[in-house]
Amino acid sequence: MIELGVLALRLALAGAIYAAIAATVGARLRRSDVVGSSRAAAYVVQALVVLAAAVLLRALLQHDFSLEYVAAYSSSTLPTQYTVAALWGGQQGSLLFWVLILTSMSSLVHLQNRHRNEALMPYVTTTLMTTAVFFLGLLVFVTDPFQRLPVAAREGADLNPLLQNYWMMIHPPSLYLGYVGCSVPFAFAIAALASGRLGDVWIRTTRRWTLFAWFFLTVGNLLGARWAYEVLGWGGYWAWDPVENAAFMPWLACTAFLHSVMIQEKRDMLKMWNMVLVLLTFTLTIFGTFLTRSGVVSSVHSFTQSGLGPFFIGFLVTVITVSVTLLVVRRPLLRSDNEIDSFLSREAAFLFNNLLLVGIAFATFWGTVFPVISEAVRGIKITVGPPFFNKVNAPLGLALLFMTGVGPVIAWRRASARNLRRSFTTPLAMGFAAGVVLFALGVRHYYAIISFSLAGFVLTTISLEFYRGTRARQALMGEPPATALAHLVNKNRRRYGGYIVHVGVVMAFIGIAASSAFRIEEQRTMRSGESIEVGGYTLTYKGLRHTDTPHVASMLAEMEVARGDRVIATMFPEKRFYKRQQQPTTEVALRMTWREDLYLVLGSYDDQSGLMTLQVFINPLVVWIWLGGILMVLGTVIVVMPTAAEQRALAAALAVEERGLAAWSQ
Amino acid sequence: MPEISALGYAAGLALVAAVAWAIAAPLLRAVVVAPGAGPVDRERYRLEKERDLAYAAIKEADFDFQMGKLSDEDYAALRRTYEGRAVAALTALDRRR
Repeated sequence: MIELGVLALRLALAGAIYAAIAATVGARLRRSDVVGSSRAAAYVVQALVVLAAAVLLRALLQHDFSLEYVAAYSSSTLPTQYTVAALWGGQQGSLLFWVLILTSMSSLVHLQNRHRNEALMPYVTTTLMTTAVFFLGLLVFVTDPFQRLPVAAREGADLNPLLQNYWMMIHPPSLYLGYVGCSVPFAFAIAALASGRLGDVWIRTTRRWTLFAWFFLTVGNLLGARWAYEVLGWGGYWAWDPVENAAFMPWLACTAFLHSVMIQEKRDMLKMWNMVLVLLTFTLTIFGTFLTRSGVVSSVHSFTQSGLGPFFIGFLVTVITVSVTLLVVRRPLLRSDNEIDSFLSREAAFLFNNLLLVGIAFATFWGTVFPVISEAVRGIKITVGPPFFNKVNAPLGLALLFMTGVGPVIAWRRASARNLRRSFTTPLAMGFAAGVVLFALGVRHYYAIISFSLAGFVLTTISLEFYRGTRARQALMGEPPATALAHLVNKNRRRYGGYIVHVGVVMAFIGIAASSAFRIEEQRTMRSGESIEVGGYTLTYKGLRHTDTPHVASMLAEMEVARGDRVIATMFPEKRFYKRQQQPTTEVALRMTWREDLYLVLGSYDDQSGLMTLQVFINPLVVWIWLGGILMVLGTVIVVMPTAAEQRALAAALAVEERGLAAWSQ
Repeated sequence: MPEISALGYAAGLALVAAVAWAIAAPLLRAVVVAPGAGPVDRERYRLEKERDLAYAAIKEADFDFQMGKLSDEDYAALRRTYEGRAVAALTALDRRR
């Protein structure tokens, strides 16, 4: 059975090489049979990768410890859901999982476009299959998931205990879907450059794919933050860890693209800039994968030191070289006749938002790679920690938050100072009022005051957008308010879904600002029966409890939580000891409310005396970050749903190209 | 490395044959010249695009005006500009027919 997996991977590699070459050759020779064969090969590659992944999954579930991968990342006592997660929990398996998603998306793209985009699709096939060749090449020649041990192990080493967590089950697949989803817009961008068809078609065709990738990058980042919050036990959710940064950077570039692409659609401008952003986003996804797998940075997320770094650098250099060459060659076709009419316009606001997003991405990139560069050039390892990132990115982030409020209020093309005054008076007053109230309440943390004021400003602009839009529809269509609001959102899902995403972003900002500025932290050593007061809570230590299974042993501290005289909860911060890995982990006890999280961490303990050290964190408004994430998801779902107008626009763009082709064929 | 049975070899061969057949089958079909490498009628494309952008701009200006984001003068100026562009694009397209 294992040999079938080996064969499937080798055949998949051969098939992907064939598909990549045949697609472009077929396009150049204008041979439909060759292009058709390349398309069939792309489907076959997916089927073979599915087969290989199924073989590896079966080996994991059957505890086949003759395989090095199964022995290294699972054990016979590992719960089934984590045994399945072990498929992406190790180096080789995660690469296989990556290529599984990539080839599945490739098949979906080919199915969606089987009767359209005939000029672009061969190059799309070449790009997607070339990426698949890279990953399959690694799996076949460098890091084989089906490598056998000389002698089968009697027991597996188990999955890293930090990964044995619910959030870790869904965080990597989400992030991979986001990362790999970026390959589709990239492939269409390369196809547009290679074929010279640089109109709107590639952008309209990939709009949903870009949103899909952005959606999963957002969810993946948030789930990662949630995992870090619950598993790492340091009281926070984001530490500017290099691998966190690696997932954050493509999200920033993708967000910039989603905004600037609207300017291209509406004004036929920024074609070159949009191309650069798509290419940058994909490059950053590969760079992120390189960071995780090369071992060049130390991180809680990274896989062990491996020899994959040079291969990833080679692939990155190839991607950048091909992209830049195509951009230079096609530069004349990427010029636009239109210009920004006024700097007081929505397109100018979007441009500024783009600069901020790319600025944050650049600062994050620099802070992430600087230690690596420093070590390589000077031999000195420098740590760039959260203070650097917070110092640089916090002001940029606040400026971005401000622009989130400015963009919706300004008209496309031109806005006069008088209208801006009218549009901004109420939001600015609300923002200012929020700041004054906080100051009057005794808040002296200026970043927090600015954040909350900006949040008030943005939420008011968005509310006014819904209100004025509804009023405008009422005036134009004579509809009652509820119908007008429903039609307003339904007829322009992209704009109003986007506003809902923005509300989610504002909520996340509020949560981040409050939890950073007003966190309470205490550490106490306690005896059984002793109570402490922290942030209005009375915590009484009732004693230690012990549980034991063949897989894991646990020590739990029973903590009674009271507010005033009323007992509101019993919480169990926990230390676990994973037997196979001989590794202790911390399991946080968390009580979440909309106001604050009570976050308990069991430090050290003495079983004999019953003494234990408890860390208590009170993190205000953290739940707003997760609720903001849910709103972002909801808003994106609204944005993704197609409207009749968009489908007409895509059909029109395709028809224009088809007519062009027909004219040429005659 | 465990021994591979005859059945295993047969399964492997069947897999290789299936892959080869799936990829080669399209090559056995009649060749149709694919419209892929030729240039688009760029001028017509440009004009149609110009027309569509002007329509969209007028619609957008109407809505922004209703929302109170545009002054009377800016609205009138924008409408004039984009109506002019739409008419110019339509005239040029008519001439090409």
